[in-house]
Amino acid sequence: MAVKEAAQRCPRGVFVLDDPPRYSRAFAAVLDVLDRFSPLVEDAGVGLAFADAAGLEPLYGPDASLGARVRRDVAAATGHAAHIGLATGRLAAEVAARTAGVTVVATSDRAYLAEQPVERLPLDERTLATLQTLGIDTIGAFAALPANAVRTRYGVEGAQARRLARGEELKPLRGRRRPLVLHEAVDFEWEEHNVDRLAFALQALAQRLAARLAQRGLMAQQVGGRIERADGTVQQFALPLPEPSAAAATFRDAARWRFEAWADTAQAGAVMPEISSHQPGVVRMSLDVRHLAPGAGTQRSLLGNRSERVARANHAISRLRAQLGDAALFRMALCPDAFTLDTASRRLDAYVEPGSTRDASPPSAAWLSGLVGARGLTRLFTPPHPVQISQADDARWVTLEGATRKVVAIYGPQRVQTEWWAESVDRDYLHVRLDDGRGLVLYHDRAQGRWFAQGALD
Amino acid sequence: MASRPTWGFPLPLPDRERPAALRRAVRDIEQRLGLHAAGRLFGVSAPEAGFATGIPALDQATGFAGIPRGRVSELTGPRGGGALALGLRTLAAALDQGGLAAYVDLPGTFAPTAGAALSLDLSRLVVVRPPDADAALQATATLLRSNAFEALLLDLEATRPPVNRWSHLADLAGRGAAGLVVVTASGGRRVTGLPYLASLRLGVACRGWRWQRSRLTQAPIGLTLEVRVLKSRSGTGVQRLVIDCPFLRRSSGPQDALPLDAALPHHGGSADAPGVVGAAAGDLRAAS
Repeated sequence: MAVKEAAQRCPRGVFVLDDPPRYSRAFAAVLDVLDRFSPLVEDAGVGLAFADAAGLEPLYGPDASLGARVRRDVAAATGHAAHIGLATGRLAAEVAARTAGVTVVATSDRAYLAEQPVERLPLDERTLATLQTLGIDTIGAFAALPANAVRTRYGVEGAQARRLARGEELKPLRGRRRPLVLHEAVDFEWEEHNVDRLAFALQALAQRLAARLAQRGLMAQQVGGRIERADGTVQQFALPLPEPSAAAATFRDAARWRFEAWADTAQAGAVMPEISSHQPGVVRMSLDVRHLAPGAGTQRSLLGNRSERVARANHAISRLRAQLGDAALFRMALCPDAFTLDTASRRLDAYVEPGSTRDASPPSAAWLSGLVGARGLTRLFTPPHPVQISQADDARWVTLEGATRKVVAIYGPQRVQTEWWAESVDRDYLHVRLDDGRGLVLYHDRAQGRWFAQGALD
Repeated sequence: MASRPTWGFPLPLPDRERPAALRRAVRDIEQRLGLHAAGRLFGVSAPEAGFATGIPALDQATGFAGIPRGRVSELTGPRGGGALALGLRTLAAALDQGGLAAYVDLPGTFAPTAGAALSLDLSRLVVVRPPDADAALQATATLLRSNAFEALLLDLEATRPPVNRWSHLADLAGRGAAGLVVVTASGGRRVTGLPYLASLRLGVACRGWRWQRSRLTQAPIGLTLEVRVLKSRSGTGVQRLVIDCPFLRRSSGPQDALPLDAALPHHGGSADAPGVVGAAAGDLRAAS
């Protein structure tokens, strides 16, 4: 059904765009919970996972107890209620998990499946329709069919479904591949407030991580940290490194910068910044390195002085990102296919080596000169500021941020209109000069009937 | 035997007493004028030449052949007065010589189209958007300390940061070769401390727009700026210039990114537009 038709039938409906990456991220939390219980977890797609529960009874008790604990932990981690099925084989467990709560298959898989509808088998719709026409409506009835007849009539897929129906497992669980993460932590017996003393502990953690990386011949591309305070609050960060590193100092500095930013901002810049005494101190600190890759030597001397400078720049950028947050540093590029100043600029990650390559083809001179409103504009208001336009005493007046000024010169209007089926833009742009000398770029949004200041000449 | 007279001109000290006397003198200066008032220039023998703004008259007036490296410069003026346009032009001129530059954008209004029009290579410009003035100065200090940038533009607009940070920034700028350009808006409280520590202060005010007129319409193509050299530690006196600052600039360096002159409208005066006086950068219209 088309969205338009759905909206007509259900005017109050809320339409949410499909977002598979978001679902995957959400389901990863479920997989992480299963990892805590079982050494072998298979990711069978978003919404379905299998875990090997063999040998877990001494740890978590009988199957029902294990299922209840998994269900509780998933709810705590994700806020969603999981359906848990426990059985010997994959198909029986999946069928059992279709029931809400925890379902333990106490009998053999074959006996359990025999009573289930045949639609539970992994068969295509045409085969299922044929089976129902023949009066085969349970898995048990399908399992009782002769093997040769099933293979001849329904092919390999049918034969495999028959084996599943008889409770036979076709393939072992395939554990999901988890990226290697090296992790070190330290627990304090006291509440630590001093950032410098935390840095000493960080140094030890970083050195241990560096030694483990060296043993494996790996370098890290991301460092993460986490501190737990006495009141139970947790702060954590993940900071991409400007280049792969196995140096303890790199890990220590990255974490220290972020910890300093977490410390009392009133003391930023002090020789020994301290976490304010009215904040609870740190009782546990951990450091981890991720995105590991085989190490490769960097002989910057072969690349000349420029590479050294870029490395220093990246170091400074890395530090500022730790202190100010990821969104505070970036580079910008222009989008040559944009029609308006709003959409003409694009943020780029500052970590790409600056100047090594041009991030996109530079805008053509014709595009730049044709970009309405760009002429002379040095301050771009994001989002545009609403303004009031009035006329009195044979003059036009502009009210911006509460101040009203007279317009002494106007250039324009220049119209920008885009296709109505895309993001519709229908604006008239003006350059105006005010009596106090300021220059503004205004536009009249014809659809809304309102005026906005796009930017200023300064 | 007559003793040597001790009055009149002081006698030169013996060599063994000179270090102690020097230490006393430095301590005295520091007690009077502050800790950073006297010190050595570590590894800096002489200030490097500045980077030219592309406006020869202005470069000559500053006494540094442009905006000085390793020093703090301030561009100040009323809002909308063209100080930022001049600052961006300076940044573009610095990038013409290669390397990297940074723009500390406290108001959060950087317009990349303005950079492109000035042939500023955006791929070598790092933009920092700090949450407040204190973080802006901290970020500037970090960037200066890296000694990896040719020039830094700190856009404060009307924000007034704490006075006690400028000394540290000036010290850091002096240890490297980057030119730190601070853009401030005049009016209201002054940016305390900065006028004292800046090696170059330019007051910038917009005297009008320059128009390109045709038979049917007219379009703004640049600003006419009045620039006052309020202070220059190069020793040049106070000067006042009126310069043309076109919106478009052609890169003079090897890293030319945009062949802007190819398809853009002509900006120079023509028979159709006799009212436009020479559009070339650096056209000195009047001086006193």
